[in-house]
Amino acid sequence: MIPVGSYLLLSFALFAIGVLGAVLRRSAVAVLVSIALILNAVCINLAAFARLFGDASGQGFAFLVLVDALLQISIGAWMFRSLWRSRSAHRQAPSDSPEPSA
Amino acid sequence: MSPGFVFYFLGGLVLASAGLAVTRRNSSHTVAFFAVASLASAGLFLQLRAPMLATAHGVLFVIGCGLVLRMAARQPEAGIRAFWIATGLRTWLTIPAVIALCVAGMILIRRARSLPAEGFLVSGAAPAEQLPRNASAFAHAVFGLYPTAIAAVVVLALLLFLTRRGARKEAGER
Repeated sequence: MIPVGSYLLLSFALFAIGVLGAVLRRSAVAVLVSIALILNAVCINLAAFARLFGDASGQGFAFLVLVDALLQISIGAWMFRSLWRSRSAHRQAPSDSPEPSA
Repeated sequence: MSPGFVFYFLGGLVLASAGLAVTRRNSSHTVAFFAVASLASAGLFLQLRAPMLATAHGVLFVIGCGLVLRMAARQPEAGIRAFWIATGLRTWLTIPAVIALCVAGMILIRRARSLPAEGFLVSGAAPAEQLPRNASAFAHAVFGLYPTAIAAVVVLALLLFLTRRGARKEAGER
């Protein structure tokens, strides 16, 4: 059996990668993916401790975290899409306005 | 295949693909590497004797990757054109990603077969009377211990659905 410390190290590294990506990247997709990586690291931790204590409650909580991550991704995708639409509409607006007469 | 080798392989795959997903500039590369990291994480869950969680993880993150790709593919500013999968991915990035995906899938199936009474994903892996061992414990944990959390998640999903529906209605009226 793999010791639980190995899983903790792995999830710590994954968490660190996710935090770095969420803080340093400016792309919306990269930020969403980084936050999902952070939640993934949390799930690995929960599953490792569930295995260590022989209790499935950690797995149940990890499942709820996963569903929450999916909802967060869909909300984020929707928000960023609306933002892009409003930005592109804002950019097109000056060209649509009539030319001022001299 | 020893559990140590599987763990280090899957862990390395998770870390490498997560690092590449965070550092790539093209959004389709980011989502592809994130999919590899998610599948490798599902393999880790299988190794932790949590097949229900692995299944849920695989299904939910495939839906999540689809949502993000759909969002990115509709935005010309994200750098993804009409045939983003066919033309957007470079060959030297696609081939390792596909190979890693195949290897992770094979390991998942092997692990599912080697877990008696828990590998319900693969046909013929578990006898029917032994199936509910992890499934029943998982269901008991989810529905017995966290009813408030389930209610919160359901309310959140409902709010999201209603808000989207309202926004679409408003856009249609305009």
